[in-house]
Amino acid sequence: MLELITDRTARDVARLQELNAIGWDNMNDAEKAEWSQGSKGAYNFADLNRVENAVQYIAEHLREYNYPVELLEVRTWKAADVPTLTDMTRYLENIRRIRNAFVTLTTTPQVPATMKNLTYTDANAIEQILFDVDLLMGNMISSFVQCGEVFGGEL
Amino acid sequence: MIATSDKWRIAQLDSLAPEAFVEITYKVTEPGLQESAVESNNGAMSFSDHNNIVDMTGREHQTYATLEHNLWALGGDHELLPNVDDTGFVSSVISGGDGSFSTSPVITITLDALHAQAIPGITITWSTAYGEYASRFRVRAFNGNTEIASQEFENTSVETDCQIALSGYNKVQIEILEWCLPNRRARMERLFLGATQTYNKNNLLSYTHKQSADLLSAELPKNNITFSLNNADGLWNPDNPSGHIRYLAERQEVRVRYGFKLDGVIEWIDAGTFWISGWDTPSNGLEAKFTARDMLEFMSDIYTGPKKGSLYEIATAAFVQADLPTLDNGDPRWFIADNLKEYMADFSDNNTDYKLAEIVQLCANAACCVMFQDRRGVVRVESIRENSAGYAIRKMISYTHPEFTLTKPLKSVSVNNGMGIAEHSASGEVQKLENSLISDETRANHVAEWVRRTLENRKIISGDYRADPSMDVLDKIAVESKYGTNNAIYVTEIEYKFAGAFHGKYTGRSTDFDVETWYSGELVSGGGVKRA
Repeated sequence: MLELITDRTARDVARLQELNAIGWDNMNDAEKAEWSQGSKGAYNFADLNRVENAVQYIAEHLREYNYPVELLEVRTWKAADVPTLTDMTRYLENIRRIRNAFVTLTTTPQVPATMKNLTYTDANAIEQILFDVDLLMGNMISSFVQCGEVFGGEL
Repeated sequence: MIATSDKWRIAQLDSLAPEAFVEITYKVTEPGLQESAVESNNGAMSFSDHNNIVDMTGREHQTYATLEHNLWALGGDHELLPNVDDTGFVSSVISGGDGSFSTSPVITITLDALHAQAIPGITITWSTAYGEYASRFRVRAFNGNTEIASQEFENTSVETDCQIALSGYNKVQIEILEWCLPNRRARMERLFLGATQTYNKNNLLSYTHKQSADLLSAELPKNNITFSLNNADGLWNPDNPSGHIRYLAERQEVRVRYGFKLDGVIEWIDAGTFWISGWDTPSNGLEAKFTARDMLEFMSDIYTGPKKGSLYEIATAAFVQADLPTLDNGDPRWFIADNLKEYMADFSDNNTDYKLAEIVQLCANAACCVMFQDRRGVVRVESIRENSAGYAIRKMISYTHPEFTLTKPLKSVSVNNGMGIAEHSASGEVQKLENSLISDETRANHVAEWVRRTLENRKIISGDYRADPSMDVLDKIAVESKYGTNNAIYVTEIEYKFAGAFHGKYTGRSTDFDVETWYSGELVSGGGVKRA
């Protein structure tokens, strides 16, 4: 099962802004630890990598079960990188291709139109799409008929 | 009228005015210093816009996404590169786990020459976009390769006023030692070579703002302030070796804003941008007095531009020759209405030495326009505004009944010795107007008629009142007399005095617009009236 984050809230964003405003020198040890571990109110390179890895994993899984999906380049991000508009357009396009390659729930969100002015709900939506596709893939796979006889009721 | 909130206007109706404020911001620097600075650094990102960090502009900086730890907050306000207009300086190196840098980012400002005039320090704006700053940095100044000053600063603000007296220098370096957060690039949006002093009613002993503008552009507009500061501590004494007087220079910029506290929050409006033109700081005085003038301070040179062309071209040439400082966003500090492009002038035969300001004034007059400096510090040449916010000086806020005077009856107007004539009545005074930029009979007749229509309104109204400083010269307002609100005027002079509250004096010429149509008589807010 993929580990994805879909529960970011406005409170996470507000808390990050609080910590940033305090400044490193004025943070206590608990606050420094909280800030250092990475806030759910921010989009860090670890978030991009988690999504990119999940995209790759799901795509491989889809292909394995004959759901063809072709991805644009998938990359590994570092803290020193600067995501550009082109990079992020590619990033969202991969999400879109995953979403279009398989069935989704009625509650599965749409792919955000852009990463510009990204909100916590947009970030949740990206990972919710991957979560839902992965979940439905899993459901499908677990319901496949294994070799042997099929039984149903009194048949 | 300067735009204000409904709260502001409604508060003017109260019998007790809200608490008022004046704030003067004075930029202490050497004129032309910023323009001569060239920036370099020891490592910046490819998207870093560091070439224009040294200036006096106040551009807005926006947040953009990078992957520095916790920088890309999910608040919905981060742009993506490269769609960012101005990032300022962004270092290539990222701070370590404690905010310090393995290699300190160094920004070097090289000047065109050795600057002997003293400045009290530098003002650095770090990152207003992200609310981040250098928590420790060093400023060094050099004369060639010789270090003449060095000081380390600890800081907790996005805008730092670094007090380090500099003189005889041609290079300044800022070495960023520690950032306020770990795993961050150092950022600097702006660097001002000089200091910004702010004075408010705690330091102001007196303050007067006078404005005037002529409806016919027959005189140059005036817009100036005088203020005095508490000098009990001798800060402005000429003999004080550590006093501020050594930093004073003519043409240093002063910005003023006015405010009222409304529901606990101060609402500010621009009062104007001025340039220091004189000061009086006696050794034994308890106060230091300053005078600052409008942009026309810069326009006293003799005009040497073209003497033939459209009024627009001639006025533009005068402004360009004046080499006026630009606005914060880099726009020029003048505005000329397009209709001046339609009128041609030729004064090649005239050998009079006109000053730059006079040339612009003559252009305004020849085009039937007014000339004034607005609150942003822009000299404007345009037709008088036909609409205003419907402001009324009511009896309740008048300290005296309005004074009425009548000018002499008008017989006719003669432009350029009869080139253009507008008859008005059988008897009275002949108003003569000479303007060498009016070159043909059609234009002369048009100007004569414009002057006649303005001067036929002979009533000049003046008075004292509890001022709402959002009123400006050339505003069309109503003045309420004891016989009713039936006097419509164009304001030609205003004086605001501040001594804890605003006291105003106004003078205006009556206009022929139908005040009963324009003004329904129903007061709606802030001395304002409901437009019909």
